[in-house]
Amino acid sequence: MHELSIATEVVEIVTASVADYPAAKVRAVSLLIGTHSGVVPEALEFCFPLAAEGTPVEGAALQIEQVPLKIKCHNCGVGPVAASSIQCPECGSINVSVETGREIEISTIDLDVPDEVVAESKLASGGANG
Amino acid sequence: MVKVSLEKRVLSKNDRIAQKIRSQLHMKGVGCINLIGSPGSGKTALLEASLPRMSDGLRCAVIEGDVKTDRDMQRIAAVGVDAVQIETGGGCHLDAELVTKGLAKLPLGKLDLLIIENVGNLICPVAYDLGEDYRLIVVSVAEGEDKPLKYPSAFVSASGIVVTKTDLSSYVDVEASQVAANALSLNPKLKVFTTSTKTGEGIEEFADFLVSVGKSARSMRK
Repeated sequence: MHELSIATEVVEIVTASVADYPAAKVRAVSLLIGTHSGVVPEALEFCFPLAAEGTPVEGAALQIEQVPLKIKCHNCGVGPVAASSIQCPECGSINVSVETGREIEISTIDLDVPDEVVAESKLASGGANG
Repeated sequence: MVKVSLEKRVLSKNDRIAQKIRSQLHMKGVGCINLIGSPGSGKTALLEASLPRMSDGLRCAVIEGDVKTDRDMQRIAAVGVDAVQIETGGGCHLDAELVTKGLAKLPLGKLDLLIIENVGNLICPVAYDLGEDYRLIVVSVAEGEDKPLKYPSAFVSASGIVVTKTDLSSYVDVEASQVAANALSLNPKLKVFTTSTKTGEGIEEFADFLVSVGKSARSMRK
């Protein structure tokens, strides 16, 4: 996959999320990457600093949590259940839906924010527009 | 330190733009097909052969996606069909934002069918919704019968498969039926087309399919 363009998109989304808080420093970005998303975590880790250079995300650590594949089978009804491919591990049917394992998602960001900004902003309640 | 929850899908921007494209095309009664296939699978040749065979006065245009050159746009224009070229300059897939730029150059109000020929690649284009009604994977017999099994995401995400270059079957020892069988084992709902631009096999059927997509869209025009 094209991990550099994924990394660039992550940096853009995070930058937009903290645009209202210029005093905030992004310390870490946490991603959920499904094992069947097509994204290679090592390649993403390599590209992330390149994409973040010169942006408010520069210097932030990248944390990747891999999400395993779970399917629900519409043939035998089993699931959600762990699977190694898009096929029911019980009955072998391909008539399944993917519950988890395809995510390319930003879950959280860690920010250093001056105390007065936290008190006044939405950040304190754990939300940010993105 | 403050931990802020974003819970944001990275590709949500593309999906939003793709949905806008989809709504716009449906309102104007334009059907849309996204053609995905490896470099050299025969996507452009398939269009060169089938577009002139479209009947019933269907008006069609093509958005061509390539890393470099407008050679494919020239080939489509040479058979009398409007085409615009998007050069990604290095990007390995078209995305909805690029397609929006291509759409701006086309007279959508005067079209029944839009075909998007994606950048040659069986991996990256799969993740990017372009607002299409149909996604077709183009794969030639020369690529081997196992390609659906080796690139399952492409075939699972598609509505149809076009197996091309059947005239080469005896030289590469691969039958179109083998390619199709492997694709259907992953996605039994795939529409299957088998073609050769050399012998003409399947071109009429494919052209008829293009006409049906255009007619169906036209009938839904608001």
